[in-house]
Amino acid sequence: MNPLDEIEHSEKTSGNTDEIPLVALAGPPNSGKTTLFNRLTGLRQKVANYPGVTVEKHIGEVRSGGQVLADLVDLPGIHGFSARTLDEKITKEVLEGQVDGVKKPDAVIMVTDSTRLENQLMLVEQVLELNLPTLLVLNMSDELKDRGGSVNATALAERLGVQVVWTNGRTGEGTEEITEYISQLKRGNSTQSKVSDVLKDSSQSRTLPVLERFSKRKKAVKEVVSQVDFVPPKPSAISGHLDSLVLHKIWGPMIFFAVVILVFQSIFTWAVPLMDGIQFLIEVSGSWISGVLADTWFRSLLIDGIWAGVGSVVVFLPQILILFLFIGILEDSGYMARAAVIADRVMYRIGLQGRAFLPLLSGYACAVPAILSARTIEDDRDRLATIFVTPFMTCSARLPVYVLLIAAFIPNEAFLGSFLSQRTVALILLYALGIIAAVITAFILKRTLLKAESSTFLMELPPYRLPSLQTLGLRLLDRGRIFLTRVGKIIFTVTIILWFLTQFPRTEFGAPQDIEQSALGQIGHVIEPVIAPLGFDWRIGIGLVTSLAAREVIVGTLGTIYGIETADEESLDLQSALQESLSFPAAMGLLVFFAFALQCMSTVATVKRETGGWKWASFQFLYMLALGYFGAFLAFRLF
Amino acid sequence: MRTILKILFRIQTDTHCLEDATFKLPPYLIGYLRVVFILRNKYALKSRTILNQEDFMEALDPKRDSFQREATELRLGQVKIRQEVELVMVDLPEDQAEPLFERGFLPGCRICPVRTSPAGDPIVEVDGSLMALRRETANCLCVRTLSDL
Repeated sequence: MNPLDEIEHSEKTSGNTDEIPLVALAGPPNSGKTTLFNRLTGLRQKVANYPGVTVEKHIGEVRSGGQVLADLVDLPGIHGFSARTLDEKITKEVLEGQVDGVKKPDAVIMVTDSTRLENQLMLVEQVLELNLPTLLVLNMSDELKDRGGSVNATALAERLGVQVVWTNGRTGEGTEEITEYISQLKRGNSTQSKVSDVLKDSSQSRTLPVLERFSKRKKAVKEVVSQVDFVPPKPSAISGHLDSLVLHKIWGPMIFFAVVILVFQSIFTWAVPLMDGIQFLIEVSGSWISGVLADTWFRSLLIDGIWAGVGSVVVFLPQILILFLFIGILEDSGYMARAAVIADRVMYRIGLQGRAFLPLLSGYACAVPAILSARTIEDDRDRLATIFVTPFMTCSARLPVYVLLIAAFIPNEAFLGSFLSQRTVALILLYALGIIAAVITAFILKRTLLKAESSTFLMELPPYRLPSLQTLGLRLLDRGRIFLTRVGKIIFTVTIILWFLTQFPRTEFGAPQDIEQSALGQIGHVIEPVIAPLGFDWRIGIGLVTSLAAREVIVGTLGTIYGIETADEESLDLQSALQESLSFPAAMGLLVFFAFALQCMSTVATVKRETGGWKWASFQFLYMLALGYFGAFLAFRLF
Repeated sequence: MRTILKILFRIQTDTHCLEDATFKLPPYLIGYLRVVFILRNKYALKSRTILNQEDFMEALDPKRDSFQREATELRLGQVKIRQEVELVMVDLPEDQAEPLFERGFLPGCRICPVRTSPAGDPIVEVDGSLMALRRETANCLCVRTLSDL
């Protein structure tokens, strides 16, 4: 963006929102910030991206009596302003008014978990240094009381020079006070009575070396804490008991695996009826539309292009939603942090860290949301390595391809007794292949390109809490929306381009030609020499091109090429057509190719955004393509 | 020969004995041993691969007592469960230490190991928050027991 545009842009936005104040909601993770945000704004919220980065901007309206009091922006949960993570950087820039498209907030609502007040005051202080009108929210008031802790809020308010409010995210207690504070802003009353001495002390400290800066803050915090009669709560007995089970030497890993298996089970079995239902609806509606419309190019574009494109995205929605429901429960309850601690040792060996567990697990459903969830990894090198290997996890778009090829080429015979069939073994081997590739790649990456002395793994274990249904529900909506827009946009575009490639050039009579003569067919012929060493012909070549939209698209493409109506992965006609044109070693090669190659433009686009450029995205694509090619070549020669 | 080996072994476990050794070691030998052991400690504790000149100078300078301190200091990784300690210093480069500072691991703070992860990494309580860290990191945190105060 050129500088002129930026100025124009910011002028426009500031002009538009002059009337309504902007209030930022800041706080550390697990402080109940998002629950509070949902309580304050209800469903009147929208999500957008900050320009240039992929951190979502959650903005909602706070209303009272039908009147909009303020726009509330929910900032990502952070621990400090050192700008090590994308989240920290964005929070800092928003609060300092450096993000174009977002004006400098008129006030900050600083949410803290009152049971961990002493720890969180360090962050509070950094927020106060920004010199914005601030409301300090002491959340989880009930928990503090129940565990025998207390703090003199009036003294705290006086000491820090800000208003202080007690809240309880679960019951909604204290929300009116926050609304009241916001309405004061609207009326233009300055609520900042005086600049506290804490603030004066530490605002000079920005130039100090890191340790001294933090020590100074800490000293100030200690002072504050001693003056406001803070009685730290006793450790939560329930959390302690749960931890001695969840982090037990034997039970801990067992619970961990049980949770992982449960998540897998839910993605692969419980989501299936829903996915079938959606598939059915798309087919029925598609054939209904094609019945209504005349047989023109428009109908073909609508059905074979648009409808097929939409369908191939929407069909994965149940899986994504179920996965994120589980992840949401695990995160909000506090288990995810423990799982990361349990996974850390193994991850550390291969060059990753405990937090990589979540992206890698999500990768089994879809790499796009998985890569987005890698944001919580503080260390840049660890994060890049995680993003790099996540697409090796067998995502659900690979499954239809695997199922088709395995059903066509591997006999359904017992393997090693009657326990497993050869087909099952083949599928397990393909999953294992992905894991092995990921492990080796991460191992090599962290010893070459992403070499670092060592990173600090520090994981806060929040107390166990019951997840709030509203927060879970809103997050699901949010995830579903991200998935549909991110993945949908790209698959949609690519399927329409592919449709045009199959329709043109046309014959003299204006009718589409055979697929072999179409532009796509010609592309297939052009790449045939390249893929011939793998035993693939031009038909598979076309499939490889179309599967760049999404891997499973190859199934439909092959159906079109072999002239089989309603081809899905279980179609027997398609299986026998494949058996004729593809040799067994080549089929094995194709399976290996799909296990390795990054045949997914949505993932490439996501990686590009998350890593801030084409460098890593193109390197990853080429690396995985090369691995797929040579893997397929080896398989073709060996079988 | 045997006595020398014995002394070398003692030096490995307790470097104080360099000063009060039963017989006088020649000064150059003390200097040499200082270099060897400080490098050994540095290497083992920080997994630093490149040793800079500063380390050599530090080791050779008899006035610097950091050599002794580093070897005898208690590390968080060695602290027993439920034994509260005070953080003395974070023996890590600044960029790795900053996340620790940010979460309250600052000199003077109280740290209490509460349990270990299944893999044996410490989980400690700091300022009322539970924090999990790797034992490699914990071994870079110099602490002292509260009874030492």
